[in-house]
Amino acid sequence: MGTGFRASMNWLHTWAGVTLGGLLFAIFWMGTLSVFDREIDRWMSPMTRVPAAPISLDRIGEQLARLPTTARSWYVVPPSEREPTLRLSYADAHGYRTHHIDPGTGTMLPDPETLAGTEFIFPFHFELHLHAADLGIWIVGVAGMAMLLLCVSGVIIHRKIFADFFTFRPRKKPRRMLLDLHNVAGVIGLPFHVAITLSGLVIFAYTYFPTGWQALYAQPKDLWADVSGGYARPASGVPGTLGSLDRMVAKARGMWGGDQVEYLSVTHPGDAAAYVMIERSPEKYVTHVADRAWFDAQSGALLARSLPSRPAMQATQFLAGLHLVRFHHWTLRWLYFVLGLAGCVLIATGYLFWLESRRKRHLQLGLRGVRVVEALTIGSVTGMILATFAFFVANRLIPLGASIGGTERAALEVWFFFAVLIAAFLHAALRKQQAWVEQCVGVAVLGGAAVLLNWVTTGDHLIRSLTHPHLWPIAVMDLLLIVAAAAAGYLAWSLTRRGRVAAPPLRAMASA
Amino acid sequence: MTGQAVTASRAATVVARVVVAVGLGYAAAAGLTAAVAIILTRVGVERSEAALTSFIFGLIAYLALLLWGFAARRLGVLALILAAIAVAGFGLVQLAGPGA
Repeated sequence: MGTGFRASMNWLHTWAGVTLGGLLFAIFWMGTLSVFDREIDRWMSPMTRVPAAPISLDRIGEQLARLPTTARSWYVVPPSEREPTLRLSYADAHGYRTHHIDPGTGTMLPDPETLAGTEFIFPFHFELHLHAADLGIWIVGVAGMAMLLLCVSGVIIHRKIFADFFTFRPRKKPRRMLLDLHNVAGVIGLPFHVAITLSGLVIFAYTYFPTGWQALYAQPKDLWADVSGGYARPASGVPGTLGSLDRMVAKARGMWGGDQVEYLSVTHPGDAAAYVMIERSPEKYVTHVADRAWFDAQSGALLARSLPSRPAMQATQFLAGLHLVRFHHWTLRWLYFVLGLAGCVLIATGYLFWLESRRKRHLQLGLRGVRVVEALTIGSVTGMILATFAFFVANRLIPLGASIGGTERAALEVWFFFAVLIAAFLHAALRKQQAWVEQCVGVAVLGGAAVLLNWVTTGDHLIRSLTHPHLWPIAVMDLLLIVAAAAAGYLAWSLTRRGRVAAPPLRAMASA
Repeated sequence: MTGQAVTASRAATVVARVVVAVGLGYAAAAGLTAAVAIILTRVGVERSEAALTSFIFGLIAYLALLLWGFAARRLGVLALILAAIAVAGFGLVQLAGPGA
């Protein structure tokens, strides 16, 4: 652990990074992709690649009538800039179902049968798909606290933080170059990394530090009722009809300065005591506004409104909004994406620097540390990218309606992801340094295959997607996949070439 | 000491440090979170605002305690102080009674 403040911070930075870096890479990578989660949804659900069009909610009454009245509630998500389809969802005995409706024709689209961006990549980012006892949320919380510690200790152990900002020596010794890259990504990205980590932790601080609210409230619902109000009433048992949703939406928008509606829900559908909840869209604000209004489903009369947010709630909503990027601003969205990738580079180069500064000594002393950490690094960096691309490829290869042993298509894609991830770790453990080259080749092949398969299975090749504005999300995803495949291919090529000139592959990677 | 004994004692030191800094640090932060919630309501902050402020405070407190936990020279003193903070915080909750 060393003596002195700087030495103990150095120890902390090194070991928190080595032990939790793999997890942090997964969280940063999935978080970075989540910036474009709706666009990934379009790519993975070709039936929803439809042009945006205004749609009357009352026109979908026929579709609503087809939803089971056994469902406790219905959810209606109107189309928006990033989500062109209207979505109808409900939960019944068979689970949660969603139907997409084409806003142009008002007809129901086939079920996409995929979790895609919003239901696989985004939840992976904050709960790793480990739901039991909020386990995933707690693990991500530990990683988040470690990230904050890494940011603070990283600043402390750098003597010349200002000089680091301008220091990048790609032609110097590889170890020096990796440290420079780690420092540049860390220093330039520091404000973003601190803000994104802290705001992410704030979203779940309610779970991480419950002792405060538990000392004041018996039940969480009592707290939220105090914070933002609410409305509920039991079903009457008497059949009822649904009034004009359009009129209710218009009334709600009038209360919110004309802002769009995020979604609405119908509770006790088909009952005389049914009521409609409408939530305001946060798309115009950084602050994650979540104002709500409740209406009588039959008459459309206003029943209740949520309470205005007080300062502590406003601060929480601001930090949550800063993290969730629900506001519509393409330039800022791209900035989040680029800075998120900088975070991934930061974590990966941290590992590479650790490995390069110990490789020789560990080899001489016969220590296994470098081998173990290198396998961990390869599995969590290139393995994670490989598994993600395999997820995209599986989505284009598995036909709709397919199932294996009762496992449906959406779950098969997820199995594919985890199978490739586990295989990548095993491969890294077996093949040692050679795994860098082989997994980079894998990333290049899968990235290219994803683009080709998208063309073959949907007909939306780049020329078509670039010339149709509603297909731009597809074009951008294809282009990013091509860039990633090319970068991985170049890396694999230069690693092999330099490897033959005698230097160990990693050295080559560093000076590539 | 033999080489192995040195390694074992170093490992024990590291484990003890992590347990104290991360575990007791969390207990202290959770105790402080509860104390802040109660004190804020006592000085006139609305109950829901006090609750929300307390968990954001908890995060920052934990970060500070973790940094101190890994930097502090003497582990025993650190453990004692962290335990004392936790006991004081949760003790205040008991004194204030349910629903504060």
